[in-house]
Amino acid sequence: MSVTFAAALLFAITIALVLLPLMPTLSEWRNRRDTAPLRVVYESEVDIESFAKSFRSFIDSNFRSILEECRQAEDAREGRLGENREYIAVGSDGLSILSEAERRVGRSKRLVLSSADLLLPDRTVFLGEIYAGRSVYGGERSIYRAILAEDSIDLGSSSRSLRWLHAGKRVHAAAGSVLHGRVSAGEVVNLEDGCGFERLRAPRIEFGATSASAGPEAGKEAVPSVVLQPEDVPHLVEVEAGRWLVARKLEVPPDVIVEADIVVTGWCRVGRGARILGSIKSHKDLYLAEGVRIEGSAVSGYGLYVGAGCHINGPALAETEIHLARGSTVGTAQRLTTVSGRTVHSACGVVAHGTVWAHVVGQVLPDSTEAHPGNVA
Amino acid sequence: MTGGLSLPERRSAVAEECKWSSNRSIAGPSSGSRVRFGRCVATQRVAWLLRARSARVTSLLSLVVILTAAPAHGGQAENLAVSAGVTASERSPRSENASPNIRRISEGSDYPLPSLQPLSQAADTGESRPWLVSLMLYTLYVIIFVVCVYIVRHYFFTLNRLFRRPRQPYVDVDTADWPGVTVLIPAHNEEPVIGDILEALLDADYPKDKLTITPIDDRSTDQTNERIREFEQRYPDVVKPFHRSDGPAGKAAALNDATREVETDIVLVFDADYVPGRGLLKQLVAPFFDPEVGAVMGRVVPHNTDINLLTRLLDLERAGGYQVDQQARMNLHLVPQYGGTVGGVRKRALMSVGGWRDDALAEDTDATYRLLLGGWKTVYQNRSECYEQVPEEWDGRLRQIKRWAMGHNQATARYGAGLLRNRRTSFLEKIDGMLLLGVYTVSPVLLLGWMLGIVLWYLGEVKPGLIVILLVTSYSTIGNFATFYEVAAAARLDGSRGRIRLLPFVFLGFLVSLFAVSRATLSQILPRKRSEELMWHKTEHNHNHNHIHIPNRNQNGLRE
Repeated sequence: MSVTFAAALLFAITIALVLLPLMPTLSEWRNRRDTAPLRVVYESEVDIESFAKSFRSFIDSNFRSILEECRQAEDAREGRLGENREYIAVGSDGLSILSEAERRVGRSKRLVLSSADLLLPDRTVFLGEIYAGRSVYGGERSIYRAILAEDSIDLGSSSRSLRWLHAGKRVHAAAGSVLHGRVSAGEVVNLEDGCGFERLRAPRIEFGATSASAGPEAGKEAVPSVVLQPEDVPHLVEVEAGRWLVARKLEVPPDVIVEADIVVTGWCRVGRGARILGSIKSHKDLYLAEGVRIEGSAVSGYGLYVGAGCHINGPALAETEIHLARGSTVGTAQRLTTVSGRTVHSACGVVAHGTVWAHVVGQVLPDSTEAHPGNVA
Repeated sequence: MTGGLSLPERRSAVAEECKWSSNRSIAGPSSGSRVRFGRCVATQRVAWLLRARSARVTSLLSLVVILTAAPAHGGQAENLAVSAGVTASERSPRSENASPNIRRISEGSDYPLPSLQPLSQAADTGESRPWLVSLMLYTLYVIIFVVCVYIVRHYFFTLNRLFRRPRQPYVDVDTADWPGVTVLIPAHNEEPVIGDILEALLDADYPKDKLTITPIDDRSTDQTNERIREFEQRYPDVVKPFHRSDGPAGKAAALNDATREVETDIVLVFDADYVPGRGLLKQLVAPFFDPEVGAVMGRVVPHNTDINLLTRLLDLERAGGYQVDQQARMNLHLVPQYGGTVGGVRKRALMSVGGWRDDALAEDTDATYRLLLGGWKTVYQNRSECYEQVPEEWDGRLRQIKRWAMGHNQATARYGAGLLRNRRTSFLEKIDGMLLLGVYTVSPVLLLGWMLGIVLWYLGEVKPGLIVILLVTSYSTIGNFATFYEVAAAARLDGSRGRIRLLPFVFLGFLVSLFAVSRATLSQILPRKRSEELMWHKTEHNHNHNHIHIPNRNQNGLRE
């Protein structure tokens, strides 16, 4: 082996060793396999009704004529859409939607479609979506993948929904039901005590049976007349741009009016009957005593504890938990808003207008349970 | 000539010296340590060439000469001390102890060759180092510390993003009594794109009675003005343009003038070449329900990624900067940065801290820090995404990053001390705020560290551990806000696995940035004309690629 050849070989081996780990890089550079821009969200991802809209579109394009035929014939029709998508379409109330085998095992994988009301049996698992041209009446202890009803959805006690529910007017879940995913209605969502939920949206969301006592009526207390002045606030850092910045902690006295936004770097307690004309934010827990009214938003870096009869006009946001005591309201029918926290615990008699979103779990506490753990003066 | 020898004689002496020194080791008279002195011919040739230079330059370069003469293997190198920058007559008394062989070379030439002194003796006996060496050494320690702080910061951010739940407290707010909002679109010769953003904003899912769109035409010389007027005539209740024909130039000045006329408390800002999605306005407005929020920033996503290698690298870098760096700062309650577009400010907060500053080189960084000093938070919304066009030419990229660097440096000078004294910000915000301000000074600092490391190594301050640390940390921290693991983590979080293979090329991009940023920083030390600062800094785009394709929608208008 000549010296020249050896040197060339050594050089080639060296280059190869250097380039070897870069082969994926060079390959990607040359072949350009992943050059597309990242997909961005053009529509709002948080549109709670997006699944329902998609499903309605699917129904319209595939089953509208079938449903119309069933309705005119007052009959049921079974079939298969594509390879594995079986369905049953019924045209009037009272028709059986379960085959004998399904009834025996208590499980149905078919799409269930109806141009009229649907009366669903107890203790049955529906793994296919359900559509009703009018209302859906669910039995007790049944499990549903998803339901779209043009009128109402009424679930029996201890029912479960796995993905979403949407009703044109009203969704009602009896006691002990657990509603995973999205639940929306054109008018009212009502969850009885013991229900669990994740995400709810309706112009009016009622927690607890409609017969539950509402407690103190929100916002109807006597309007306080004493205006809290900045000089009366301990730990006040500054008053600037209509905002009070308070260090460490703040205790707003009862029955006063605060004509500013408030930001507290620690925890904050708002006394009974106080009224905040702006918004309030605390980095730690935020406690609202009974009858507090906040015209803006209530934001907490930790927990938000809303006392009985409180009213929050704007969004109520907490990064950990939210407790809503009996009779409290969030938003109004004219000013829909959002309640959002990792967990949301609501007593019966609470009303929210707009969206309630519990990232981990939401719960309607039994009628006898106090939802407000904070010892608020 | 001062050496007393003619040029041929000196060459002969050098040849003799090299012949001698190439075959033996030289023992220093006082230390007993060995100095291997090779490649003398080249050394002396260079030294001879340097004679004509000024004394200062000669002294500086003579240091390089000695370095090239030193052995390549650090393990075998013995300590050499160089009295760099000192002429023969100014040498310290210690130089008298230098090797006689070395002295012979110096004396044989009128070139003021620096004296060499084994430092091992000083190190061994505890004798103090020359002050210059000590200064360099301690400077290197400081640099290594700074670099290590940044590497910890980057690791911390990356791990936070990989293993912690993202903090997005406002992303759920989709139902609210939405406040009035004004969207400002600073535009200077944006004829090809101004129509696209106006169409997109008019299609936005935001109550039209609460929305005002204000394109700011700042002395455009193309048809921008006419295009804006077309929209004004079609949508007079929504599109209310603002025209500038005088006053200082630049985006900050344009924003400043227009913001004064804004009637709403929430002001969103988009550059003219962006196309926001339908839901973006609500997402950007939602954080302002928090009374502490003074500014909000969305995520910028490059659209023209398939043009060339640069655009692909910038796509990776942007991903690291937003998906990891910004979101981690949001998670940790630190200082997310308002980026000047795809974001917004609360007008009364901004006005309470002085409004937009006309003379700010980066009005976004400037606003972020003045809001921070005023006790207002900046919020980053990772899900509020909008396409942008990144530079497709290296020149444009260099201009862009230089401007960013100069803006950061300017903000550092203006607000650094104030931030440390500020009582409205937490301790962690102070730390992160300072680190964010200093992110562009890392580049020149790193270059200085490299130079010091090399010089000290050749001077005999052999600290391999320090050099290794510096090299390793340098690998991890050069660049601006998107380092390698941040980029890799971002690619993983974005689910784009193929492009992660380009990661080694990112090193190339960062090296370019390193020198560009260093040059920009140095240029700021020199006096400049004010007129150079106040101008429109625009990223040049290829308008053929500018039309952004909106993903296919199904019949419900939902993304497929």
